[in-house]
Amino acid sequence: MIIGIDVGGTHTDGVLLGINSPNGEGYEILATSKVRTQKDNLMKSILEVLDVLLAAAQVPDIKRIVLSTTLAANVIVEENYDPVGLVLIPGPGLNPEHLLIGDENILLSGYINHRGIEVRDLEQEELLKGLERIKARGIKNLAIVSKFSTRNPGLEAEVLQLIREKDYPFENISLGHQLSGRLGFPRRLVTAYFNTAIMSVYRDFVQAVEKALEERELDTGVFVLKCDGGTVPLDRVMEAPIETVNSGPAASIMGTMAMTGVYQNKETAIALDIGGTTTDIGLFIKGEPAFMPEGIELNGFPTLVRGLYSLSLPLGGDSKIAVKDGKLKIGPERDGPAAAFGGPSPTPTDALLVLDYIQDDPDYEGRADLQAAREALVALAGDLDPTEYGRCWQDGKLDLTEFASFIIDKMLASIVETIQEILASLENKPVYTISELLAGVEIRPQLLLTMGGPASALSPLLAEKLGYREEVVPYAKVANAVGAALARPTLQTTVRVDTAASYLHIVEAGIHRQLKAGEDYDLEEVEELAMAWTRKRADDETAVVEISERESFNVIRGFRTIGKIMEVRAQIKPGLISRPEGSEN
Amino acid sequence: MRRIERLKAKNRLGLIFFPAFDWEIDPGHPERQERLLYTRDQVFEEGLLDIEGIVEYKPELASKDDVSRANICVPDIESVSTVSHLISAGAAIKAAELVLEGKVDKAFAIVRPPGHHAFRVVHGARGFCNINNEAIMVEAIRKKYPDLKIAFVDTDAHHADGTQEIFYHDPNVLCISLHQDGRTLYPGTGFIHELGGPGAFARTLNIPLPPGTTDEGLLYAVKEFILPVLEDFKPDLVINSAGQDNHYSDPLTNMRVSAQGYARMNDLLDPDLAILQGGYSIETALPYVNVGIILAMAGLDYTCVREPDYKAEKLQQDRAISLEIQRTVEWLQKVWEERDRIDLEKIFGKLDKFYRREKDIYYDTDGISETQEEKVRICPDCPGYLLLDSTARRAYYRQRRIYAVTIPRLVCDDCYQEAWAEFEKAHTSNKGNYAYIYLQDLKKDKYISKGPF
Repeated sequence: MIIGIDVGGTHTDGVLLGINSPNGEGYEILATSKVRTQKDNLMKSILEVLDVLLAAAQVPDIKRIVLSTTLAANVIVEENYDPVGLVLIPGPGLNPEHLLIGDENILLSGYINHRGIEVRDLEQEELLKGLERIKARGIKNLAIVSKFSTRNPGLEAEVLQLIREKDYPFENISLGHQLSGRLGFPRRLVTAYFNTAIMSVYRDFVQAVEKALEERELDTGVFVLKCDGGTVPLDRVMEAPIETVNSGPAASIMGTMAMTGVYQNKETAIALDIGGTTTDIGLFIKGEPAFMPEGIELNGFPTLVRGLYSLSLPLGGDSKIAVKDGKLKIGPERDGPAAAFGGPSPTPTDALLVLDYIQDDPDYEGRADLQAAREALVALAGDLDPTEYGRCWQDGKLDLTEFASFIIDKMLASIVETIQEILASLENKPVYTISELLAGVEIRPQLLLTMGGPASALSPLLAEKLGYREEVVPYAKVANAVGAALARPTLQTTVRVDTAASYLHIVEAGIHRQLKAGEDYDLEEVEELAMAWTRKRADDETAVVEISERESFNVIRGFRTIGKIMEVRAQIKPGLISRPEGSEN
Repeated sequence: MRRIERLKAKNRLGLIFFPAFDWEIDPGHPERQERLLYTRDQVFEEGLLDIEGIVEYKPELASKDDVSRANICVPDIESVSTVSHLISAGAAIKAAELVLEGKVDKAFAIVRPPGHHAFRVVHGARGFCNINNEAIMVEAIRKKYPDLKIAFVDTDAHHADGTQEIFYHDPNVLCISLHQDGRTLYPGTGFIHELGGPGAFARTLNIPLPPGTTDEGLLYAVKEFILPVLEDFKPDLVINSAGQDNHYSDPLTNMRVSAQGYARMNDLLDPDLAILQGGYSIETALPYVNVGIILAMAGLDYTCVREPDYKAEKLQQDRAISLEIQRTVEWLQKVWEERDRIDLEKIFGKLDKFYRREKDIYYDTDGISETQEEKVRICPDCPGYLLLDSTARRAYYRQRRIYAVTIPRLVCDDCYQEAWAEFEKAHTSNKGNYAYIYLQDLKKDKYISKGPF
């Protein structure tokens, strides 16, 4: 049996999945559990759900527990962490002034260039002075980041070594080069900053989970869902806790993958999770979940954290509808539930109720105050500019049905527009080779997959506007928890070989060394190395690994080729360990 | 967390970055696949594309018509260019359109291969250039904006001989080229007395700089001469043909300019567009020069951009060099001041129906020698059409002669009729002298190729 628990902003959902077929490949939902998320005590919410599921499993034979939590995101958004000191080694280039986001910042001279060559060493005195300053302020968190540290982590390592030697009392330290193999100094810095910031809270969380399992005498592998749709074992989360941030949208996309045939049928599809406050838009390309092109944004800062493509539109069933300067405005704020459920403002949910689109839905049936919904909408009409909303009036009287459908149309139009913008921006993403430019990128979704409160009402309307087929994700209420439960580990390994400089980097494994005498590589061998290391790091010899990026260039001095620079990225893509029984296909 | 305002570019800058990682002249050639590799790495690592206001765009391919407006390719476009050239030219067009349509304030096309050594008639590759990206761009945007006044400031170490030649008789295009003295470097031209044809006098201005010129000399020429000229000319569009081979580490030239010098120059010139030309110190210069130019164009602080081996004391300019540059600038200032009062017949001889000049054009990349006679119709009402008679000689005594008539967009009616008559006459009377006969009619946007004969 497998347990998946998704801690969301409002609710915490859990599922218990059981092995249900003779060949062990299918799972079925045995039990579900839902509680309100206690923001100040996520652990309590998790345990409540866990205990219900454990009780439901009569013979507790739990193989795996996967948690998707908003812990990291909450800490970051609320800035609920201790001050962070930053050690920056920028070298020449863009003025680093705008990067001094630490509560204390040490700007060091020292310089690694784009080939990974150390052009200038650190100045110890400068460093020591800075560290003293940070220590004096009682700062316990530190992030150390140098430009081009993925090409040579030497200067970052040197700083760490000095801290160890001098016994500085820092509790949490992040080194930039350990968090991603990609280029981008400002992103690396922000990633390291947030990674350090959440470490204390995360350590407590890991301990609390371990303790809870011990108390329940569960000897089970526990995993945490990452924002790239993969899992990481609990005992390795602390290596880069920042990767688990924003796993909610990833859980939703993995759930959609589990509950529908999108993967099996290699469909290009748009996945919509229409919630109360937001609509999250995800994307599948030929059955595979798409990634954010560079890395996700946190608190408005671009990072190097790899994440599944997800765009959150501030528009949902409970978005406040208002009239401003005679014009109708939906969202971005949410005042509370829909007027029909006692909320203060009219919402798209009220419009749907008036149109009789969702009254039969068991979630709404009998509970909705239709009169309140009508009154809230009528109250808007007085301020509307009649020239623009002419179709909503009949003989000087507001045609409420027409008005409600106008509201829904407007909401749909804005979702459709956003989807089209996403597709256009992905298709226009720059490429750097002629063959890619000529091949072009075409992303043509055929299918709309929806979940969330008003999904069943809106899905056909949206699909019609987009010209797609549509499908409402079954068991959508627990889809996120199922997505978490069934997600498998993901991993990326960047291998860079510079035969001219005689250097080998296996970045994510922390290996940076000179080539040995006689050690030589061609591109194919670099690819093999990247795949082998990916399997090794995943501790899974049979994992399906693919090469996601590769490039190879000559290095020429004078008119002679003196070597090659090859860089390869291998990955285990996000995927499912199995699929639930009864899901389609 | 200390709240720091997210970095925002003062000028919205469009970047068209197309390094063509799968194209090269040949693996050992300076114009090879990895030429912009280290630039990409530096730009990515600096996070320039995350700065608000700096937006990357994808290039489009220039069409055949786009190329035909500027270049007469012999025998045809396919034979002298590849798809990489069409992308490079397309990128230049896209950059100009972004600016003219107001989508960005400025645009920088970091693309290869370059184009400024390509003349109007193209028999092959010279100076690593096949078709002239910038001329193609100018003619593409003039389709929509025919009266546009354009100023090129070519800052490549090599004289922009191709761009100069294509616009030699065009009074609406000011071609300024700053370069290492032609007596010491390919293509061996770009002297102060090359000043444009009789209908576009002083619309071509060359500032040869002695080998060893540093930031100081370069910036002196910009401040003392180029900026005042631009102020007088009042162009609608200033284009920096941004070659980066004046750098002190460039393997093909003898100049001593630094990344700071380049950035400062762009800051002063304040161009609407920059289009990458040459520059072959791909590891030690290009990453820093390009970052410097991007920052300067975006209106951001570039003062921290510095090469790993930069040493200010090693880049002091000799006094003799400073004096020579001063003399050059003084002479050019005088020309510019007197440009409208000068007796053109003193310079060009008697100006009857045609002004005629001869050119010897050497194609170093493809090993071709071309001789060409160019006649421009002298007309008080328009820039006049061109008649071109060109012979290209290759190894093993192979040679090919062509004839071409070029009609500018702003031609007057009489000249237009006359030019067509010239084309018909050349075509009907051709007894096999010419292998091909071309017509370049920018007014009607019509391009005809007859042959082979």
